Amino acid sequence: MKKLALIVLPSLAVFLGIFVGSYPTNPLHLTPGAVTIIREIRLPRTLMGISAGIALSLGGMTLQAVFRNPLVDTYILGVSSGVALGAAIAVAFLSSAGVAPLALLFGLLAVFLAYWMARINGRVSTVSLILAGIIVTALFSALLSLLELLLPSESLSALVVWLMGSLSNADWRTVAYSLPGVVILAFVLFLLRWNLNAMSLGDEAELLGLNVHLWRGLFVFISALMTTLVVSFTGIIGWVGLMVPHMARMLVGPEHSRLIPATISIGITVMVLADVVVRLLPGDVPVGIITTLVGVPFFGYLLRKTGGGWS
Amino acid sequence: MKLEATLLIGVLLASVLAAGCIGSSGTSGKATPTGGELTFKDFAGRSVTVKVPVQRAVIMSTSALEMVQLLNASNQVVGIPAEAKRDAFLSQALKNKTVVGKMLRIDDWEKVLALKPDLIVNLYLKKFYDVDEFLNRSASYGIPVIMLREDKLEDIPKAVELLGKVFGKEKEARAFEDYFNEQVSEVKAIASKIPVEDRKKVIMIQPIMGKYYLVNGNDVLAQAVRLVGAEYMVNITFNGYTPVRVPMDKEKIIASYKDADVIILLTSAVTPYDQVSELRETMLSDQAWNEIKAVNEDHIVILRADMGRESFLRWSPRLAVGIWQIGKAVYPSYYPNWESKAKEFLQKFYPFLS
Repeated sequence: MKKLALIVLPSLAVFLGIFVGSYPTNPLHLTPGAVTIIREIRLPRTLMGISAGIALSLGGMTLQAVFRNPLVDTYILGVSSGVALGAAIAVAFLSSAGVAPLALLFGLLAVFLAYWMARINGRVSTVSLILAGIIVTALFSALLSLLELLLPSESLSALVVWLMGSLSNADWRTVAYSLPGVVILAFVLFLLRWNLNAMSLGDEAELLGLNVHLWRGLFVFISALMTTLVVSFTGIIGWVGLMVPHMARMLVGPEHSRLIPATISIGITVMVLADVVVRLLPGDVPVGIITTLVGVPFFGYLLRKTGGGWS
Repeated sequence: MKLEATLLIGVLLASVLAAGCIGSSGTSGKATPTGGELTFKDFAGRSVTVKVPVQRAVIMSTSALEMVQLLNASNQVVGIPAEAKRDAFLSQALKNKTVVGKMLRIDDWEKVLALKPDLIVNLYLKKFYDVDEFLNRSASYGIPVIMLREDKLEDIPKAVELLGKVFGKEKEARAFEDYFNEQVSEVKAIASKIPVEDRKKVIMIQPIMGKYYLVNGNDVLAQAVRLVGAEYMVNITFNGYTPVRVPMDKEKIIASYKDADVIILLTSAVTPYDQVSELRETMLSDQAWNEIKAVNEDHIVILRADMGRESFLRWSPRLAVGIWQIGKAVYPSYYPNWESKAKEFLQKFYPFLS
């Protein structure tokens, strides 16, 4: 039953992603115009939703396993502040370079900086990595605030809207840039599911012969890369990485050979449905607002239920 | 221990005293009003009394600064907003004045008080900053405030007229009013000759960071489109609130404005001409965009609405040329080239640019 639900739900979400929108597209009677709208707008938008759903959910799931902490996701390592700073630099000084490349660069830079800072005597502890993430986030946020002072009002408003996260400007180019990388990294994670299981035991994984520090670094890098491959194009889409892995864990348990497919399935469902909701609202509401509105109460509930600990 | 505590308290006291005594040093010089007092209603409907002519004004909007410059009253300005530095239509002399804030907000009132202003000019835009707090603060310091509104085309000459009275430059103000009204009348005369069956449907899009911001029907640029004899299609209200720009995704634009005859793409401070030009090419080759009549028939025009010297599409005196630009963009066969109008306008009112 659970397996069936995990197949049916994302399929239904993708169907709605293809056929729901402001342009009339009746699946039983497709006009040439409707076919064009589906091919050129809805399909890339839905595929970008799939990419975002996979990347953000698996990114959160991986870090939760590696840090043995249910309340972390990739943003805690400074990815979001790095992406935001990169976007602001692009807007302020390098508009010809485009926002995405600099957002990607600074998103990864933030994680590398946090990792480098946390590496003491060749070892990276969970606490030091989270603290380093907080330091990098604070530094990049301060630099972002400084840049915001220099930006003209139009740029500032545009940057704020962009940072809220949206799938509305997805096209085939952005899909080609994001989805293949995300799918490959998801496949790599699935291949490494036993190592991920071992890592979720904490330092005891060393007893199983794992080089914990090496694997921790690798998993952090995979999570960060996946996330930046998405958010450098879409802007910051919050709470998916926190919310989805927990829903998956509640359904199939913590074992990663089942948890990874379940996380992917729920991630796709949540992200594509959130985008469908956005399409039905007037204007161009950032999808990040919807995921936050759903994610915050869920996270609050989770915090009260688990007390912030690993269960 | 006692000595350390005494020293610490001493340092603290010295810091407090220093903070009270040290402040921004403003430009010296007294306001020398030679006339009497003038009482009038500003654009927010407030009754304002000002000693005229004003000698030391802080002006928080770049459009009002352009008006004051046009009135030849730049030397009566002491404070400007940060955006003024990027406005290509402002003289270097004005740009060199003290920056006191950004985006209609005053960063540091102490800096303003040090300038000893006898007037502040700002925009009445409650969505952008706390107007009431701003007015209360100014009143508590005894500085009168004129609030302008950037809503309508006809408010441009009215604002120039008001500022002309306040700055003692009525003659210069009248010259601009006459010129502006003449341009509007000429455009109206051309518009009246356009047959109803030729009436075009128009939308304006300002692309910013990959998003599409539609110019809404209450914007002065939409009013300019109607003035040149076209129908402006975008009129969006959210629960009684009508923003001047509405972010909208590609599909909604295509679904809602399929019948548009002309699309005007606007540049901005964020999206320069070459990027908008790239978007235009993308739209023309994109099958989905081609669902819109204007795209299918290649009626996409790019106009500048940035801070550069070729931009005339802002609520400011420049719109005297902007209406000609829009006319030419929508009805190329009815309207003359706007470049000669721009040259004439700049020579008359912005001689330092030409």
